[in-house]
Amino acid sequence: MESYKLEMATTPGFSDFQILYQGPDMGHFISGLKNGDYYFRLCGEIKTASESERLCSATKEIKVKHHNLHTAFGFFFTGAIAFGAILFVIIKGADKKEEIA
Amino acid sequence: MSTESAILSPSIGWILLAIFGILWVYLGYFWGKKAKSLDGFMLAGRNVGLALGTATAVATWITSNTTMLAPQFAFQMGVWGMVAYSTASLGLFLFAPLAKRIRLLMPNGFTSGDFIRLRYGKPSWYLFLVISVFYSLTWLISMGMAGGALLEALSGIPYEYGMTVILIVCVGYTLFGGLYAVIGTDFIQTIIILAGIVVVAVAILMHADISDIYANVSERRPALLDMLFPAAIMAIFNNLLFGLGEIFHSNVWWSRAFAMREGIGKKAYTLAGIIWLPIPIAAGFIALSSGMFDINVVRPDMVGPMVAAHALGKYGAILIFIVVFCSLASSIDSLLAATSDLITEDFYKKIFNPRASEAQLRKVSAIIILTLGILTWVACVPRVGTLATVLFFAGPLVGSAIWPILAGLYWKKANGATAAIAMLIGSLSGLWAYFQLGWYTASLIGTIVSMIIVFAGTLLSRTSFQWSELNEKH
Repeated sequence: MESYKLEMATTPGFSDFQILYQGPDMGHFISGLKNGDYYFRLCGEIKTASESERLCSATKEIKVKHHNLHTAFGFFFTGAIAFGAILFVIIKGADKKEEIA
Repeated sequence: MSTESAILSPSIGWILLAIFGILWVYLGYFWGKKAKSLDGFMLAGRNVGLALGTATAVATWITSNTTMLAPQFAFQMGVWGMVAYSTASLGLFLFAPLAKRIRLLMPNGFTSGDFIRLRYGKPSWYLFLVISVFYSLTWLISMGMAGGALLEALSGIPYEYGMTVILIVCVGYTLFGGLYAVIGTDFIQTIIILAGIVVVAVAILMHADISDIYANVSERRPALLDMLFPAAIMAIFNNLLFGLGEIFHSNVWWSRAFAMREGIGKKAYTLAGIIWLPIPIAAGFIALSSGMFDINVVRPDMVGPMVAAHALGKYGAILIFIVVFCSLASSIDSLLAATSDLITEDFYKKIFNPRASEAQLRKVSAIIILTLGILTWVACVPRVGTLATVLFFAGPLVGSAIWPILAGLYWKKANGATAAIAMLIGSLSGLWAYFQLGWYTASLIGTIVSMIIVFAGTLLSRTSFQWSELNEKH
């Protein structure tokens, strides 16, 4: 087999599959999926002189579970506080007129 | 092993490498002749003006991480990822007033290590040196990896060969010219990088309709357009603080503050921040359009260059090759020079040989540049992880240094014991977060823990530091 199709679906029966990649490469990077279960398989065709046969790999199930939003906003606001404090010290420090020498 | 189809032939790749490699080494040799003293070699005579000062800050901060990691951020974390990456410009903006104060407090300073040693004493200084050298190595490794991966993806030159040549060229011209060569080549590289990015962004906009890009991303990668994408929300301040930590602590930026003429540093860093700010947005936008060009992305850190090269064809690939080669070279040389300065001044001179002559110091500096190059090469060969995972491993360490530096510059009551504990506990807790929560949380945790310790330690402190102690005579 010289060319593959990487198929992804949200049902184990692949009723709603979409082809993510088609070609000879042996890797594909996936990102940006929402929470849920996803099913993947590789398919290809073996051709002989008279006929061709479609073969697919075993299905691989992947569960996508993002961090929950409470945790995310916890980090966001903690970061905002740290940044605000840094900003405050620098702005206040810029006004310092103390004797240095 | 994954594969991607290269757009350029290896012979074109080698020709481009040869042209720019010879050019940089020649310029390094040419400018290196100006470096007659150690001050000249390490700090370009402390006489760098606004144009060169701004250009060197921009070129150094536009690294392979900007041209390759910013698209990766967008590709993995979507719109918020682009914003998160662009927050690194705040590091330049906020270092501007620090540069002014550093020059004021330490008119004869050489390195960021000098500051920590004079301000906090030896325990903090040793810890700081470990953090700083470790960070420099991770940055160098990430850039070496980026160079090798880029050449392989664009021209089919094997990763090991491309990475090796890039490191040899950068080590070569830094060795000849010191900071003079670094700043001089940075100026040319800035012009090439900025012109290249503008051309690529305009060309992509002409090849792809924004509404089509939006529709494609909505269908194939919907979370990238989600304003409530949790990992991206977590990453925003993490990346911002990582950028601040990198700039605030690293001798790359301190050496430029010392090298610029009095009154120049603040303006140069502010201007550099303004110029740098839109670049990650442009680079991230390029990544989001990958679906439109039907490109198979195998490694997320290669998405930016691959999209640009596919969208613009052979000449676009040549342009990307040149832009990324310039961005790599301009950062690798800066890092080699600044880290070598730090080790020469802080390890060799201060610890082992306080009476070393200028000639000895220059020789040691050259050996260190060479050694750093070799260490980087050894670490790059196995190609472990992506650019993000390698680079952000140093995040908690640099994040933990932010508050000790800030407090040391502005608060008389800040003290050495607190600074050392803050860096140590901050680093360890950030590393815990790296492995337990994800790389996009580690800098934030390291910074916060360090901040709490610095606040508490300073509040309880009875120290009153005399600023004049920072003005060390050499």
